[in-house]
Amino acid sequence: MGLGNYLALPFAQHALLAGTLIAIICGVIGPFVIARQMAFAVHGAAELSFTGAAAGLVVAGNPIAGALMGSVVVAGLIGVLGEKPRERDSAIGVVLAAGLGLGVLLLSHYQGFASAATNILFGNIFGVSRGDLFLLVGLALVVLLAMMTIYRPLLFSSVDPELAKARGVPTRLLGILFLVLLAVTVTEAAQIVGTLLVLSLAITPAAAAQRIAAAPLAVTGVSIGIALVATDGGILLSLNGTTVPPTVFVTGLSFGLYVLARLIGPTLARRRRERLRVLRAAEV
Amino acid sequence: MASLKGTRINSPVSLIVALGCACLLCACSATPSSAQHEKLSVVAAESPWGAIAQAVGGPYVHVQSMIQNPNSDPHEFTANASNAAAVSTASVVIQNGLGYDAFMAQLLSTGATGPRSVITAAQVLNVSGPGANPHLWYAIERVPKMAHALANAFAQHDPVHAQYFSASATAFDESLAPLIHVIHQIATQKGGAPVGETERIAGYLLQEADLHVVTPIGFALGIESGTSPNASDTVAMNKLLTSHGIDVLLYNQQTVSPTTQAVSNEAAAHHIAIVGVTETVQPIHTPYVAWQGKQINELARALGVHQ
Repeated sequence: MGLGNYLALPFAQHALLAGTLIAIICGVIGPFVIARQMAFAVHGAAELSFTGAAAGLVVAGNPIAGALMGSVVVAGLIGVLGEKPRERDSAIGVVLAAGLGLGVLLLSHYQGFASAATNILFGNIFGVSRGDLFLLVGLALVVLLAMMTIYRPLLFSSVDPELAKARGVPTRLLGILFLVLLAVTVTEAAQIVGTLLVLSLAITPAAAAQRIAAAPLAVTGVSIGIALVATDGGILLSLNGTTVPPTVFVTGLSFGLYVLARLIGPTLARRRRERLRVLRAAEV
Repeated sequence: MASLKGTRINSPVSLIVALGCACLLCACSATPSSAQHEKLSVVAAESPWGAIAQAVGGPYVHVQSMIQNPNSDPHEFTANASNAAAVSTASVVIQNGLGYDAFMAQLLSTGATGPRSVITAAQVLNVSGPGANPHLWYAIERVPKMAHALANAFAQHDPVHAQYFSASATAFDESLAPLIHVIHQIATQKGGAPVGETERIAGYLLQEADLHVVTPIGFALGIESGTSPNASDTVAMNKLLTSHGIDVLLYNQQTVSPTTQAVSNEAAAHHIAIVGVTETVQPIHTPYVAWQGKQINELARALGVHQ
């Protein structure tokens, strides 16, 4: 079965649409994850959706609602405990370890087939239903609107938190708001397309974009572009009768683009500096 | 003109690359056999259900089982593109239910390209509830229900061979008779005997043979969920092994961990018979009756049952 035959099947179309939406959301959020040094928070939020799901399963038989509420609690805890950048990593580590322990406790009280919790929790890019797609569109709209609203102050407080605070920007509130946005995105997206995919899209494309572009909006644009190439390219590559899961291609492509960005990044930066020098010389 | 020239295959390297691409394309488009179009396409989440579907459908079905790799843990299965394509184009899809194959529900939710029947074993065998043992294909006396449900589903999609399907479902029932005979022998000769298990895999078989699982359920659940058994369950397990509290230990050969290895070593040290059972059909493509027959005979032999 070739690519053409695959593209006629609904699962492949859903996968490409879902992948595109996730790539756009992650591409927008990614640069802030890098600027605020929160890659570990992404990992923590993804892992801890397990605890939230276990709680939801034991209390109400609904792992998904549990995971969503859990992600907001986790974001709040990380935000409060890790307010100082120096303490943030260790605070996430502390919350992660305690949360995973709590998840094991909750699962040991669940009398059913426990793998159901972990299975239901994590989605698969090839198992996206029409309903999932609508949910993703809603999530994308909420995240993009929220990011557009807080973009400028969030950027200011990410680049120079001291100055932002002095100018009266509510940096603490913005930080927690962004964490909640991040945690909800990671949790919800992981349920639809899988954890590994979200992890590799929320961090790698933005890290690569930072090596290539300098202006904040350009970084966001490049980050979205790389996320799109990695996701849709990875999905298309896996639609070729191979038994290799699609996440392997997506993570492989985004890593390859990151390596490429690191290789050509210094040259691009030098050219930018030279152009700036020429411009300044012309002004003088 | 010069740029046009450049696109021609003019070096051995590009020739090899081009040939390589061509081969890849051929390999991809050649994978489905031409006979597959006439055959009813059937996808089973687990290979035991796939094996039963093959027995019922014979030459008129093409069966694909998703979980069949002996080295992979069925609980950690991830679907790839060909799995997803098979599910969306299949005429009949078989899933187990009870949370065992949640990935199948996800794949089914993406939609189908044509009319598709979905057979759920838990529904056919009328098993439900959060604590239910999901390894339904070990309920030897009840699996004929699945064979007949499959025969009906096949007949809906291929009415021409309806009689063949129902006849082979009946033949499948009859082929189980020797197995059920051994199970009854175990029950009459060793009924009520205490046995142990590292996972609940053969639970339904043990019920049918009237063997009593005395090892703690928490131990088996801990192994199954990957959260590790707690201290009291581990102590209880070890006590049963050292005091010869069980006649036989049923051991999952497919997903071995240091914990289950330690249990089997302890059992061996105290000369307790160990019977290996597998979660899915082993070796791959063995008929259902041959696979289960071998395991049931080993169980009977380990218990010293005369046949």
